[in-house]
Amino acid sequence: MRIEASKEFDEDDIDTFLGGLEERHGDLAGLIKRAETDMSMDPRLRDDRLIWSALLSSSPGLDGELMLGLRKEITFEDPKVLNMITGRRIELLSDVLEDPDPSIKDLAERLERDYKNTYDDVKALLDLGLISVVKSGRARTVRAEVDELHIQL
Amino acid sequence: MHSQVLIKQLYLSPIEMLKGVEVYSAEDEEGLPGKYGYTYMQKDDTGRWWPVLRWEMDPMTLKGKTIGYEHPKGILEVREVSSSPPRCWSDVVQIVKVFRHNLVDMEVSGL
Repeated sequence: MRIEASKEFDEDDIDTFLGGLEERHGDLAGLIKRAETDMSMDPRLRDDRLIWSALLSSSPGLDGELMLGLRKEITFEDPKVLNMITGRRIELLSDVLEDPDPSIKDLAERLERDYKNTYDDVKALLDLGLISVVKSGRARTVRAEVDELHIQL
Repeated sequence: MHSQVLIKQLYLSPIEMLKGVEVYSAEDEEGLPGKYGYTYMQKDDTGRWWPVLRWEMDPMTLKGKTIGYEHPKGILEVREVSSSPPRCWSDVVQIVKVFRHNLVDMEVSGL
């Protein structure tokens, strides 16, 4: 059994994505330097470096305009993952897709659920890579990382 | 759109991640990687599975050496052992927790 989650990033998504990379690392040269000297070999640094390099090398860079597409695919081969993708969590994911960047508190209110359960579901979806939590001022907002889910038996 | 970057990730469950993880030194005296141990899964009385780290050599001999944790999906971590090396499953769990993201295979291609 396979579960495939994917997202086709549009131009705004790519801008946000690149903005997040800049916010975390400054620039690509700085990230490469950090990744090379980082003794812990933090895999997130490695991943960000790979993606950023690929994005820049794929862009012709004419007039500063990004002329590329970005697609993300996550494959789950463990059937137990189905237990983690509950109806409530799919509802949460759909809600975030429809109206992006709510705080967890806003999300709980919108879904008429209590904060703790909403937080637990956000955490579970975050662990699966289906959403991301972005720092926005003092609040943390939730963003969907996929917009399609396919289950293949 | 002129080109596309594709990010492909494979999610592994915690149990899958810990199966067959080998702990080895980067180089022994002859410049060859030496295997120091491996992890395996053990069920406790409650039926829950726990990873266990089994040393094949005295772990204290690792002090000052660079060791790695190798998984069939790739190397998890390489680090220099400054004090006592990980000895038990809780240390392995901690390592896996910290480096969990590393086990999500990622492939990026610019098309």
